Amino acid sequence: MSRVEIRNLVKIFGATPAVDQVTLEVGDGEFFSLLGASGCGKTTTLRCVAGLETPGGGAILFDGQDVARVPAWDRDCGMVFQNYALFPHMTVADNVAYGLMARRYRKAGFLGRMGWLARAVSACLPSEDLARVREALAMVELEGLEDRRPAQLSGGQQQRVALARALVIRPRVLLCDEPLGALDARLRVKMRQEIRRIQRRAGITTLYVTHDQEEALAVSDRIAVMNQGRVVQVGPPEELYLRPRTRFLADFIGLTNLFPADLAGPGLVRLREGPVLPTTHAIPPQGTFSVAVRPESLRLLGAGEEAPGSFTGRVQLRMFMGSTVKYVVASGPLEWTVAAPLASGVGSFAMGDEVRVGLQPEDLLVLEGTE
Amino acid sequence: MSRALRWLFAGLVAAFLGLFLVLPMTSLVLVGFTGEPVDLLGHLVRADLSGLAGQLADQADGRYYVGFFETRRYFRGFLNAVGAAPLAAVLAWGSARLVLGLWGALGGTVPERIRRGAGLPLMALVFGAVLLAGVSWRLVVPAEAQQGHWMYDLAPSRSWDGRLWQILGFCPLVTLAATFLGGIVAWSVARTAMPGRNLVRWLCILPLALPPFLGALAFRNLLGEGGLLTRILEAVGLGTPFPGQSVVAAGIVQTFLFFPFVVLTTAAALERMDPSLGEAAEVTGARPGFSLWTVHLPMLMPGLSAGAFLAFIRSFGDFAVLSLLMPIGRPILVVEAYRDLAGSTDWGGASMLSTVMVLTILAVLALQKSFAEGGGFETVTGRGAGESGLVRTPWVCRACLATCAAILSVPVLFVAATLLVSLSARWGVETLPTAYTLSRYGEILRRLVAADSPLLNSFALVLPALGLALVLALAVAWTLARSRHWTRNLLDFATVLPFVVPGVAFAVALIGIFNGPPLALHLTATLVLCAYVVTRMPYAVRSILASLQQVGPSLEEGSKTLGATSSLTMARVTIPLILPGFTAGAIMVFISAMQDVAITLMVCPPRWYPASIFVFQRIQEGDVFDASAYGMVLLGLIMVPYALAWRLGGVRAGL
Repeated sequence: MSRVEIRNLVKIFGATPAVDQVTLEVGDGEFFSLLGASGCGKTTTLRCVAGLETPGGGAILFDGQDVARVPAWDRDCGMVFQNYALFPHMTVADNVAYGLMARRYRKAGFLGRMGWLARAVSACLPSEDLARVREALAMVELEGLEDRRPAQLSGGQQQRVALARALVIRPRVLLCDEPLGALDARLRVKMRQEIRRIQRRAGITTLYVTHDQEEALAVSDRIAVMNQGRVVQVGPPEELYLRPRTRFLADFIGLTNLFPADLAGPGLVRLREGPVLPTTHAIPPQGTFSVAVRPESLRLLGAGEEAPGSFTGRVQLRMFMGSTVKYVVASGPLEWTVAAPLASGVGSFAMGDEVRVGLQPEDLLVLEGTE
Repeated sequence: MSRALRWLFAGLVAAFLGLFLVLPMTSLVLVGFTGEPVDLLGHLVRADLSGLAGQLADQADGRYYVGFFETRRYFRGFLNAVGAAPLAAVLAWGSARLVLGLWGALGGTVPERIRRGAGLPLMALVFGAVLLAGVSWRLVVPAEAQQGHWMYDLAPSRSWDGRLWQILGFCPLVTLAATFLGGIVAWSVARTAMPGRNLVRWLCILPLALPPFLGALAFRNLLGEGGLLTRILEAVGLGTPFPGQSVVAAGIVQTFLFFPFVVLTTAAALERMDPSLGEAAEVTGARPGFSLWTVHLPMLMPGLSAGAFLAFIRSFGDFAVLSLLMPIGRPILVVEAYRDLAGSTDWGGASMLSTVMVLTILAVLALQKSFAEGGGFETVTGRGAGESGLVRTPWVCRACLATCAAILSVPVLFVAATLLVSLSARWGVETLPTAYTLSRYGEILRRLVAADSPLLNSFALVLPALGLALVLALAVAWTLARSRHWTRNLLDFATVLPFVVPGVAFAVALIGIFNGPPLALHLTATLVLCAYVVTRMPYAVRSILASLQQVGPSLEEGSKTLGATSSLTMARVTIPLILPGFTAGAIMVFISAMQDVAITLMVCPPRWYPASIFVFQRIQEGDVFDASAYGMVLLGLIMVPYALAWRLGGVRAGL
């Protein structure tokens, strides 16, 4: 179990920097996610930590020791790939035991290495390794499948074998490169809980790359959001969700009511082509900025109800989401998304209805950056 | 195309293949028992199957097959070709497979460990044991008892390195060497950022285009007595490395002729390989040495073994090089089969040996398939390596470039030496020719339009054969790709068979059928043409089939749902998309037919002798100068369409 420090990491492919001065710290046993869209540099950062890419600049430290000169096979990481990368010509047991055999090979002398190579090629595992393999497979709930080939397993099973292979070597750091990307939605939800549970139990420092913000929010201790090779914001999931600092992050995290605005008065902002609304957050004195409010913080007001900030509009779209009902309300040229819980007792509005939308000042966030 | 027309066409194709492929092969097997040509065709035409059965019952006996073991040059020829140790290993593997298969069929279960052990480990064990015995038996058995000892026939040579050849086998050694060289070149070309990769790829075609007999000639021109390099070495004082004929000479020529097969299949496999597997191995803790043997080589096994198998078939069935360069005292199977028929008209012997050759190749094919498919090599999710996965380390790229240059310099030097010989007017004992001339080429051009010009004969035989082969191949490939009918499997087998039958064996088979009435086609141009079509068609079938499978029926279906007729779909959708496969197939058929010696030599009337036979005979007579000139022209004729197709469509030699 290790602390991982990434200091001013730089990696350039061709002319564009894929990773541009990234600095992060992952604590011992922490589940740390790198979140961002495709091409933001999160996978490249992970691969630099693994040793699969050579950084152009900066340093990577495991427990304070620089691992720049340490080749990938000596870094003692376990990695789960997006496509699992299971060896198709080996059984599940051999796949999982691969790291153990590789370590025995590394530690042996010349003759010993020949012996271990022969054993690896003829799939002759020592009994302690077999016991550890069984233990790892039990951890991922795949007992009894030791003699199957990867092609005979389902996607979820393959993913668990990949996880077992990474964990059986008891690595210092567990690296996951979008491991759930190839699974269907339901399996994804189930597997991310599994991974989190296993990680908690084993207490392994984990660096997890994903583009799915819901996934990152659900399982991580801390998240670093990346954009174009840079880290935008780092923090626990709640902080990122409740207090995003920039428009980009708010947009990414799923804040849909995002509009440019400027100062209208003390504690008041005027949305471009929109209403004037109150806010308790600090407003920059000059220039334009963005404001955002979460769909669940907006309320469709009934007759006679009042709120500190409100505006009128017309219902464009009504979407039944199960536990919530989402409305798209058009007010002037702006479109607002309102999420009302099903049992809110507000009453149901239909498409085309005129409504009044209300919000509290503390729910109107002020963010850096405009479009 | 209407149904009736389709059936008619299918019938014609079936008749052609039946007459020129199935019947000859059947006759070959039968004649191995009867010792005399069986008038198979005559009996079938007269529908006289009972008469046929009667004749077979009368004449058949197993003495020719028994004769295989009793005649020294037969089984020594066989052992020299395949090697005692590899033979023993394959027999052990085969028996183990049989036993385990029976056990499984009877309901028993086979533990994974035993199943793994019955493959490679068992073969390695048996191989090692026979190798050890064969090399060391002379130390163990007392000198007086050695002559009559049964091991003497296995390894008669006095010298222990001679014995090593005989135990290991000529063709397995050539295959090993070709696989090694081909693997290195393939990796350099496909997985490194080595400068000049495309040039190396292109140059790999040169050995394939070089007719084997020309390769033997070129070797003589370079390293034989009076060869260019030999003269240089003698001038420096290093002596003659390869006097006359030798096993090593034949081995070198074959290795450098056939290694491109391995390059082509392995490079394709490397390009398709998923790089994340190597990365997973690396990150999980495997040093490069460990991951090479546990991940990379097993993953490459299908491509590598396919190329190695092709190299083995070519080496095993190669008549030209072995007859020109193998010493007389070293019998080798394919040459013995030819001698039996051409020399002494020993039908039984020739047919029996030919059948043995075919069976050997089928056994090796089974072995290769088991290597390629037994491992579950479908990647779990496919994702080819792109440009990003290439090795760019400078010293690695430079080392690769140097190695590839060294390997490819051999065929290039072969050709250069031959060119020099063809241009020399006077070349006595000096290192280089003292006078040059273009007169030989002039003579060739002048004789080009003469009635019996070998080059004209070549074109007259090959071009019609090419056309017919392409038409047949398209029909066959279409059926294999789109049809679900059960006859599909027979067709599949019929198109693989010519690959595995050596030319000599096929010639023996053809002569057996067409030697007399009802179809006395032996020693006619027609038979040569049909032989070319049948034996070369598989190249085109494989290429076109690959293209058709890539195109897939969904494109054609989409075209039809948009309202296009079948012919419009064929013309605007299918044919343009399969053009690469078509062109690649056409090129391979052309090259292969132009190079043919074994079949042509045995079946072609002298007045129709093509350039290949002309050159071969000149080499046999020792007339290297004329042979070299003709050989260069032949090579040029083969390389030009290749180069053209390369430029036009980036077409590579599909196999």
